[in-house]
Amino acid sequence: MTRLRDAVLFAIMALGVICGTSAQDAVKHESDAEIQKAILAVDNERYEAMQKKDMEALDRLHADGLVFINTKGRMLNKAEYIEEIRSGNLKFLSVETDDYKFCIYGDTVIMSGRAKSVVEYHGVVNKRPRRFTSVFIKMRGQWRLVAHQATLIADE
Amino acid sequence: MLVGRLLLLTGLIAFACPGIAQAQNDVPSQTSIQQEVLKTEAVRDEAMQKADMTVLNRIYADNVVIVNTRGLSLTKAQRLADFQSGDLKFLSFDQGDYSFQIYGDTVILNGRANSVVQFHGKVNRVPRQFTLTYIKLNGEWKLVAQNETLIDQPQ
Repeated sequence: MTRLRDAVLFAIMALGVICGTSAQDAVKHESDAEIQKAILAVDNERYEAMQKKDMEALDRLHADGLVFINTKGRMLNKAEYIEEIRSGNLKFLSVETDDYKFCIYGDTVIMSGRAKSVVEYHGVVNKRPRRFTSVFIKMRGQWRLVAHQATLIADE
Repeated sequence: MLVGRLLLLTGLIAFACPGIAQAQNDVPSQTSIQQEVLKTEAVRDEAMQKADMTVLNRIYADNVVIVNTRGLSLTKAQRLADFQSGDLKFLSFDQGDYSFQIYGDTVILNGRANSVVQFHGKVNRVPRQFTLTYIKLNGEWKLVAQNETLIDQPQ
């Protein structure tokens, strides 16, 4: 009888683990405002990590499959992008972003905005305003940048 | 006896959570997702060339974020109006060099476009690098973000 009770308990526990995500989903959904706040916090952390060359934080905040397209139309993967920062080829001399727009689709967030940051790239300083699109996805509880593209604003 | 009961309980679990086995069988492969997205792109390309508003309206998400090569941010209404008025015309269509990043129902599609485009009377032949973000909403792939950047040409 004890063995049967143990078997029933085991089965109930198994049921809980397998269906756990459904129950968790029903418990709490972040509001759009909370998600926007979380994304802005992650983006600020990202800029800080770039300025401090904090490799651990950069690794954590960027997805392994990151695709980064800079204003020259050059496409970089995560390793190439982080190496540009580590080597000092890419430096943020100042950070200034505004005019944000967020579109939230569950665990995927599109953030677009304008950047007036002063950036030094391979020795050339760029002060021209840029329009950017960043895509963040929540993976194992952490928002990560999966794609970023920046385009110079022609008329500013 | 105990083994039999365990098997019975396992069967009950499977019955209680039919979505689990179903979901595993229904998960599309990376290749099939790529094919679906490329098919949507082919339909969008054709619709852009024909200025087919019905199709474009279906593929572009209502909140799509578009950044064109001049760094202008456009809404869906503005982009569709450009097609409808003829302010944006594809004189030739050529894009490729695709790469995909797939995260469940979100797909990042990168590529290079060599299409010749006329925008407000100006013809642009400079190759562009683009990022398209597609998300499957209600069973349909929708374009939720598009950003294009001119590729810096060596002098």
